Amino acid sequence: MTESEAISLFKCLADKSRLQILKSLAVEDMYVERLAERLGLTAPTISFHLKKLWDAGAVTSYKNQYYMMYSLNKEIFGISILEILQQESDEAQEQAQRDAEYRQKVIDAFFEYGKLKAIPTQLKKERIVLEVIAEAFEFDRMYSEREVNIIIADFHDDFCTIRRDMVSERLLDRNGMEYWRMK
Amino acid sequence: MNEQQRKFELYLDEQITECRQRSKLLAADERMDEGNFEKVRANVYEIFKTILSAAEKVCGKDDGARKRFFLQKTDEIPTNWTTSYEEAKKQGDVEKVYIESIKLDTAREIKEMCMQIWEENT
Repeated sequence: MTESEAISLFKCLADKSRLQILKSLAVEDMYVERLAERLGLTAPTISFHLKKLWDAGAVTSYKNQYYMMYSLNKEIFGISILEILQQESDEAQEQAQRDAEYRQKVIDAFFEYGKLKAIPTQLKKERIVLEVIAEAFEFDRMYSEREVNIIIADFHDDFCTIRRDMVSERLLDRNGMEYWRMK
Repeated sequence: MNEQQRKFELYLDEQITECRQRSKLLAADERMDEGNFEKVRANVYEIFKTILSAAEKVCGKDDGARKRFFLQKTDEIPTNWTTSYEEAKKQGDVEKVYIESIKLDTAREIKEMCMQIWEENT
């Protein structure tokens, strides 16, 4: 289900009459007049609501002798709200682009000729800075504390703070003697 | 304003009030679309209430002329609504079809009530 389909479905469901129609169709398939009688609404009102529900994919229809029968689209209602929320947003690409632009802005502001000018006070910015420094470490290689300090010192003099923060941000891990870059 | 006109205006006012009350109740009951349909109905009554006062201004105290003026408008005004209804039907626009049919049904009901009230008093 796309984001716009989900929005259209949720909007459609935010109406008591339409919910009553769906509840009736959950019991059995029905035609317009039967629904009208059951819910105390006029047939044109029911037709209007059914069209909205049909457009949103909530109901399906089929012909049975003289009647157009409506039924609940169980497939749609089998999707959990969590699944809808976990689906990639239609705007995911734009969001990723904005994130990348922000990241680059932070890097440009805090690094000059490969050196860190200052440790950012904002956690979000510090995380980006630490990620850049982490790139100087190879994966699957063990480093002594001295080696770690030397690598970090290439970026900033306060290597102790940065080393500790990299461990707390789970960019580096340690076992007491050695450090390694976390994947 | 004579007795018929007063009675007819009262009828229009009552309908407007009822539609507005129903609209509020429906909206409060989370039935927004149906609430909006009641607003559409109320608007039609309001249009014809305006026509009724226009009839008095245009035709003065001539009761027959006022009735003819009003009835002529009940035929003229819904012409556009009929066109919109047909067009919406062609396009499969169920919402528009329903709204236009509400307007046409209400206009028909107003015309019938107008004739009934004038006949009752003649």
